[in-house]
Amino acid sequence: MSQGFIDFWQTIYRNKKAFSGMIILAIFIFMAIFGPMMASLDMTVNFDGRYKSPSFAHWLGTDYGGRDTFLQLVYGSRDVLSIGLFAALFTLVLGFVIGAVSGFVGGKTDTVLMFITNLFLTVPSFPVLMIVAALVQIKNPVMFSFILAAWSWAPLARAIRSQLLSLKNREFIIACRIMGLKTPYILFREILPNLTPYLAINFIMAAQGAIVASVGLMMLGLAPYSPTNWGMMIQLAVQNTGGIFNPKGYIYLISPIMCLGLFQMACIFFSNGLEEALNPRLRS
Amino acid sequence: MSLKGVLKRIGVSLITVFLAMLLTFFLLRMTPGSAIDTWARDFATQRGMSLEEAYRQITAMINYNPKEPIFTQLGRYLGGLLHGNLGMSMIYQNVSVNEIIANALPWTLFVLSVSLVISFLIGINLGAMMAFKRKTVLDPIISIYAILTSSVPNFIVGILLLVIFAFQFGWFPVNGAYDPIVEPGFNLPFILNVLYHGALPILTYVITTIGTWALTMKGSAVNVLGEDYIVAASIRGVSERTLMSRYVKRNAMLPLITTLAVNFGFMLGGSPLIENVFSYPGMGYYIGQATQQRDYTLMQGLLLVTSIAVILANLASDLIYAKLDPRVKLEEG
Amino acid sequence: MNVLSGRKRLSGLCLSIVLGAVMIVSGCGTSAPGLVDRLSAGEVKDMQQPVPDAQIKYNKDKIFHVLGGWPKPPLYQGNPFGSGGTGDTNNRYMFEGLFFFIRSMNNVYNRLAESSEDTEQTTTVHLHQNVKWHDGAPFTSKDVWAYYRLNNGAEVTKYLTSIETPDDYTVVFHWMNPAPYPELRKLLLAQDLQGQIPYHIYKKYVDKADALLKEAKPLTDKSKDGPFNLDITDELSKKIALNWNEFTRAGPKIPVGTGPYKFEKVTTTDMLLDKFEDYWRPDAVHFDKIWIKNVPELSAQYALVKAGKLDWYDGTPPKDILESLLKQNKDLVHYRMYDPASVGLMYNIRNKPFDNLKFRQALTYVLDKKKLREIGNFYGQEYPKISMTGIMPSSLEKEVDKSVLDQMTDYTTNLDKAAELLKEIGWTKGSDGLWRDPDGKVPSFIIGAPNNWAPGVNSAQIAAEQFTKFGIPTKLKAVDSTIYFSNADKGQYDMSMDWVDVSWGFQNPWSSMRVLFWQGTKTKVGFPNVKKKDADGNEVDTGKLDLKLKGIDGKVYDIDKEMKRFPYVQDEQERRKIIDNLAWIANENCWGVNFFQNATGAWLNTKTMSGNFPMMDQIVQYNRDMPLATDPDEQLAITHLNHGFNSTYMPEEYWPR
Repeated sequence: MSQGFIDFWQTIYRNKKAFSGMIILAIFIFMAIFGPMMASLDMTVNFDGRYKSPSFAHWLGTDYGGRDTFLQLVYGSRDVLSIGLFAALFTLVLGFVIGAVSGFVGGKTDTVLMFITNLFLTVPSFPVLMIVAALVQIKNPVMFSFILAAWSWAPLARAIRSQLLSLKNREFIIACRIMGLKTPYILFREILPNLTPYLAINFIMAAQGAIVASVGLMMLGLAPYSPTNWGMMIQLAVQNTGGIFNPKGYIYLISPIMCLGLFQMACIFFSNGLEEALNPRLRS
Repeated sequence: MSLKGVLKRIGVSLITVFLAMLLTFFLLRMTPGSAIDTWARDFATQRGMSLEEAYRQITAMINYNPKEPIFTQLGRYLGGLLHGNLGMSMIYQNVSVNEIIANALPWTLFVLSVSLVISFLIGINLGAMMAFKRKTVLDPIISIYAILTSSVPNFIVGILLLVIFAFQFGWFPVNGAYDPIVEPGFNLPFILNVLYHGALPILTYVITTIGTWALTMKGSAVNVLGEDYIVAASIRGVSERTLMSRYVKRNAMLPLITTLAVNFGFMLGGSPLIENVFSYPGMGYYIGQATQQRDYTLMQGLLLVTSIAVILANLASDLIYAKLDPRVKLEEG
Repeated sequence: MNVLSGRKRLSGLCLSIVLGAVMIVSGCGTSAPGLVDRLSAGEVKDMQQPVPDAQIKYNKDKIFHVLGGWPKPPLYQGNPFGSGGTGDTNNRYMFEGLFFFIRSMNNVYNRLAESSEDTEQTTTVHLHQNVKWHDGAPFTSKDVWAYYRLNNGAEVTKYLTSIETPDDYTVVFHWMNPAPYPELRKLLLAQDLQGQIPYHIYKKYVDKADALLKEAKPLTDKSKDGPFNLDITDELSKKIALNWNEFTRAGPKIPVGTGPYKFEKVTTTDMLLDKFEDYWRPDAVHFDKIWIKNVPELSAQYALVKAGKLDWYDGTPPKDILESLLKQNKDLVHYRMYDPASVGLMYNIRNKPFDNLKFRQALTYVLDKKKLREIGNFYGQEYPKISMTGIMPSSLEKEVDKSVLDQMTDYTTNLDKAAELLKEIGWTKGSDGLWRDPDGKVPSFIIGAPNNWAPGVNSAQIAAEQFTKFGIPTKLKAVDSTIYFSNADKGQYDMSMDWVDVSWGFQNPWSSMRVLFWQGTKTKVGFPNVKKKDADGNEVDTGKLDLKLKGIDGKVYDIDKEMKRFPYVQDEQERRKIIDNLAWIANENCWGVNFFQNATGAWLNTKTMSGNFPMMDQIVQYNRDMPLATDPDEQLAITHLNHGFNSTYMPEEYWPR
């Protein structure tokens, strides 16, 4: 096992894209954990200092209220990254388990699970969220992520189920069954690695979708308003700079978008190496 | 797949639709809050009347008796459904939900079908190429493009397109589904006009979704690339082009078909934000309005259409998938 | 940092190319002389007369372009009381009333009424005799009678006993005894557009409403009110409501009014109104058509304004956008005016420790209103000295006596005073900078705001940050607007945002006081109501305000009583004393904070339109970015430009060029 481990990291290292992706991710994680401790963020309004260009004092300039954009991104990264990662994790776990079991086991289990999935797909989110808002107070990112995941697992479950439907009739799977291996083993040790590239992409999409959706939930009143959440910063930027007409606000508008984009890109590049590490045939 | 199997599946789908409709009915009525407060404020500001007067006028306008017991309401609704009647709008006078949907659905269908088809086709081709040429510069460029377009909220792209192409260059119209001058009907000027007006909304959808299709396709294609038969085929000397188009693409596309079906169902609800930007009278616009005003019957009608679409699409994708991939043996259930 | 900037540079490059292209392309402006150039060249005289048709250059079709909203077909119908009405902007082109008033200034003018006179118990109105409905029928006094018999919920009916029509062109309003003072009577009448219910179209419903009202007996209980002073039983009320409901659904397919423009065509995105040939004031109509476009997206609206495609546009964008629009289109001129509403925060006195006056005052001393205004609405105006008086701040000096103003507590930002007050009530500041209540707990407060109200949300966020920085942790909750108001009324938030010191209808200190003590502010602050015991011994909330407080002179006043007697006080001095007292009480009790008075504005496109532009002599000086007017006449002229403020239609004073 440890040889496989070393092998894994060596593959990542050799793939330049994956390696750079990993470095960027590490920087983000570092920023999220240690950033707020290293610099303090003053949110006092300084209207005359708004939309300043990037300078030594303000690495990415200032926002519509004259506050440092870069520091806001750093402070927001903690919540954003944890929400994004947890939500994606929940989505993937729920989606994979339900989809895989449904596709693999088939029969009545399949019908029941798909029935539940379809319900989740068709019941509108808005009234449910409003009702939840009246009943529950979101206090931490994990709870937040869970609610976000509740709406994104269903399409993934369906897609994974269809993958399973074809995979389960392959020789190696049939061989496992003949050998009498238990279902959880087959699902997690044989099928899961097979689907990794597909799952990796979906993980990233889910994380990004969760960050954007978190803004919606904040605006519905489910969670306290957090102006440093990157998605909220994008929304505020559009609102307060009035769309595209403010010539000075471009840096402020672009910064959170770039930040999100950078994060995703790092994930994608890293997953590129992940594919190779898990599937030796792809290494050249 | 025997007839019995298909019928069984249809049966299950119908039950799902029915349950979803019931759930929606109750959920909507249990949703806290009322549209009247905001509505009254808008009214008062626009018409320069006192807030009290605004409240009074609005309460008098609405065709909804909140005191009617919920099961009576349900009974009435179900009775109407059996006749294909989705009820009357609670807020607007004399307009049936059927009429509103009949007016909005074609526009959304038009824009969405065209967008989905275009972005799907282009997306999967790009994705296959990306998986194939993993070491080249194509991969990062498309990846970056995909990331950028999914980080930017899609209505911002819509606004950008609107401002640049409609206002600045004047190449496309500013709003609406067709010009007031043209007469609706099956004549060429009308059809061309509709295409002309639909160009920007379609472009917005396509630009913002191509990236995701490409990336997902790439993920799936990379999966396929690791398969034995691909290795075998390349050893046999099959050309790269054939490999990509005949072997990889077709196999990798399969899981995406399910996503396509789900997307189709979802998108039938339109996108309120994009339709707002282009002033396009589709389903999204009405859903947004109905939600704001708590027009329950209208909301239900619209959501019912979406539910039916999603479930039908899922059913179709299951059946088609079985046809396309011989490895899949759909059980009789 | 190298890798970071490398990736960023590539993507940044792509995006900035696209955006740069937008900037460059949008920089291309018009080359014809702008307004400033024309004024400097001495074109003033030419602008003040209607341009003869042959000389019109830029608007040959004489079309007036504006924006507006209406229910999209197939939802569209012609009854203004039907759902969605006939469209908010169109009311002023198609419908008229007896009088009209200017919302922020309270002046009342005659419209369909040619003249009127008052006696102690009556007001007699003489109508113009050549007014016609759009379908050709004559407008008579019967239509005014029909309006109030059917629309018997209108506020003014509460003060009337009956309406008589001695002949086709005279209407006599009989007031109750005591009757409201004369200026108030006109204001009440001016709130309604009486030319909206043509008798010959809605005869069936008007007659039914009339018959139902005749069944009711006069009110004997002085504490209640009802239309025409009648006691409407629950059963009768149901029948009246049913009749009204049927009326709202009976509407003609297209609207019928008496106004200068009549309905021509509507689609989902455009509406066309055509000149009404038989309009009773032909000289007031200078445009042939009005073209209303529906463009809901704000950026698209700005693009239209910039491109000069609109003749008139409502609203003041954020500072940078305003300046950019003016720079790029040299024919635009923008006027600003006070909104009779202020953005404010209300303390929920149902939650501890907000029931303690000193605590509320302490918090008020913490806030720096200038910064709240800069983010909430840069063009607003903050009043650092007051907390919340119940009177529109810009008219405070006019409505309240100077001696009373001098006696009011000054709440200008003072962090030391805030700390002092907190210490007086037993709060202590810990070493971590956070304040603790007498029990030693660090509080955590919530400010609630409706999510679709940007000035409120943005300024509340800044207020929360100011409180937190001072040492009292506070967070903002932006809630969906459909549940916000009911939640706030139930007292779910420690502090709530809404319009304060606001006059929704006519601008009169009593009108804004009503909001404070009887309506929106009351429910958010949580003033107590009188509770009675009913027949079974259960406690019943009567809805009547139960607030007795000390006034300036030290005597205790029943606020509800003072508010109730105001409309009937005939002596102006006495009315002023009531208002002085109530304003002082409100300010001293610090139930909330008025962040800033909102300002709004209007745009005029002087390329396609000409006329008596207000503040003409100052346009060059300010380069078309007009500040708030100080001269009352100019203020009046400018309020004509904002359609929320008056019931006239603006194009009357302008003509195509």
